[in-house]
Amino acid sequence: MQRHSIAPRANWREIAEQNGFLFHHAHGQIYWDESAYYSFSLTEIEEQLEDPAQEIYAMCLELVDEACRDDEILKKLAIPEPYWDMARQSWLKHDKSIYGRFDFSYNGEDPAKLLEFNADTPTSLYESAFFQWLWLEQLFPDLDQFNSIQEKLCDALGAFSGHGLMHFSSVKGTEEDRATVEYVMDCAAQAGVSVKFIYMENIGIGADGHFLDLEDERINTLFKLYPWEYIWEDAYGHDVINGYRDGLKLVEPPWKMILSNKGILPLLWQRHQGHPNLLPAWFEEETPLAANYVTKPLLGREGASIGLVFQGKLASQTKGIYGKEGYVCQEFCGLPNFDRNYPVCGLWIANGLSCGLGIREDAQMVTGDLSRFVPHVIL
Amino acid sequence: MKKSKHLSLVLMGAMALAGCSGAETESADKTTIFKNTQECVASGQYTQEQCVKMEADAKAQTPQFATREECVKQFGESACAQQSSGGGNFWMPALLGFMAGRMLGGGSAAPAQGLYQNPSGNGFQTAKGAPVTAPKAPPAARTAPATSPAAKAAPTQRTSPFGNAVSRGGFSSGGRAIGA
Repeated sequence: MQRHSIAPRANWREIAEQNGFLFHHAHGQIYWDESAYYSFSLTEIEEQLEDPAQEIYAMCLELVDEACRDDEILKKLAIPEPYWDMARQSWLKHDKSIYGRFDFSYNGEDPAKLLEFNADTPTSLYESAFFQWLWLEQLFPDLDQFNSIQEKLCDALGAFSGHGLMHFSSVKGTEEDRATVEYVMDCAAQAGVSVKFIYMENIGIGADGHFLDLEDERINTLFKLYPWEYIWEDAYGHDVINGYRDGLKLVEPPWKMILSNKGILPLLWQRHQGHPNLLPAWFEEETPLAANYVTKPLLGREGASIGLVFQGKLASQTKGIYGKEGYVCQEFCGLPNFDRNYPVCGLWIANGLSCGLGIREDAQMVTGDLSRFVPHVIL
Repeated sequence: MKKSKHLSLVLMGAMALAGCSGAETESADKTTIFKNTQECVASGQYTQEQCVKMEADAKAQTPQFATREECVKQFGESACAQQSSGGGNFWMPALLGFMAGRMLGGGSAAPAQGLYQNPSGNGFQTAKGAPVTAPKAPPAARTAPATSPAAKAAPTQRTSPFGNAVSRGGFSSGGRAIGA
């Protein structure tokens, strides 16, 4: 694993915009950063990243299966009780999951360590799956890249073809989320699905309890770039439960609320203690397993509300509004330092398969929403 | 190989090129695949005029080749037929249908994309070679809810500002971004 500096393509902004990639800057700073790229050997990719991601995904599915038979786990994850049955039914019915992203700390030498699983609303999808690939094809067409994400995504979405219109949704006011949803819609259209966009805020309910779009078309299948824990707090939360009972399909499916929760980190550690790709992790009320550790809210995102404890003392804390459901603790694992850049390796699961890598790097140790996406090659 | 050999976008790129990929307002709202104008009109999603225009746009995008070999290379053995126009002969793939897209919030149609056989003969592709999987059920059946009597009658029956909905806006706890 190496980091290389390189001159960006002179016209990369135009290329990005021609391909619908309009969020290449975020918060006034560059987000797509092709002034550098990482290179990996095939062995590093296959043995150190691809296989561990596939293995940990299998461990996650086992955990879901267990949670569906053990209310104590659902309670531990702070999932509200009215949603338990939906999560269980969804798992028993094999509701289709299309994607998820594991974040690993990997330095090219030691085993990659799982930091977290973005199981419900993973972002950086378009840039990982498509724009990174386009970059490679234009600059290094003879080199390889760990990336068949789009193919696998289309395979997964093909399952919804022939079942009528599928709605796709994000919240208003975020260009990046909207673009991610457009990209998933694009893949779905390529897989033969009839697609339609609606903002979450515009969804309505008819007198018969069915969800309706702005043209009063019934929503039977909804892809939502909208976390399950928001739905728990929404006025329509109970309508989702009732709708699901009446056949509403949701993507990501209800069983993903079990995995989209930092509580899986201690649960995985308890079940696979000493696994080379896992860090010791525990619930905040339990005895610490390490002197230096990170505290993360059970339900948090974008690096918010994360605490850093050194030798038992709180050393730093990122801002955030999360944490009311409780915290988990995870042994501190520094991100590797490449010329003062700290990369996180995002390993994609699509259609159940470990199928791609997207690297986000930051000038700080905790990756937040100011990280930059940097492409990679396999040498 | 760990990378995909071929990838395309059928909506995002096309929308951007048409100058309408605004994040908030005017992106592809809805796409449906139709075999022809009749099927498009029957779906109730577009007017006759829109359907005729979309089929015409798709025909106009159909690539032309000087030789049969070039056409076959991109679209397969059975798809290519010789055409003549203005004294010249050329080869074109058969148009099997088109993918209709609609803009958000209005009824105006985005540029339709023509669909052709792919070289291996087991699916559709666009004029530029982007793969498109054929739907498993005929479009008419898939869009039935849109043309149900209740939906059609809706505009005149509306008494609430929500349309047929008894409420709207029950999602979104504060419009937070979703990054994770």
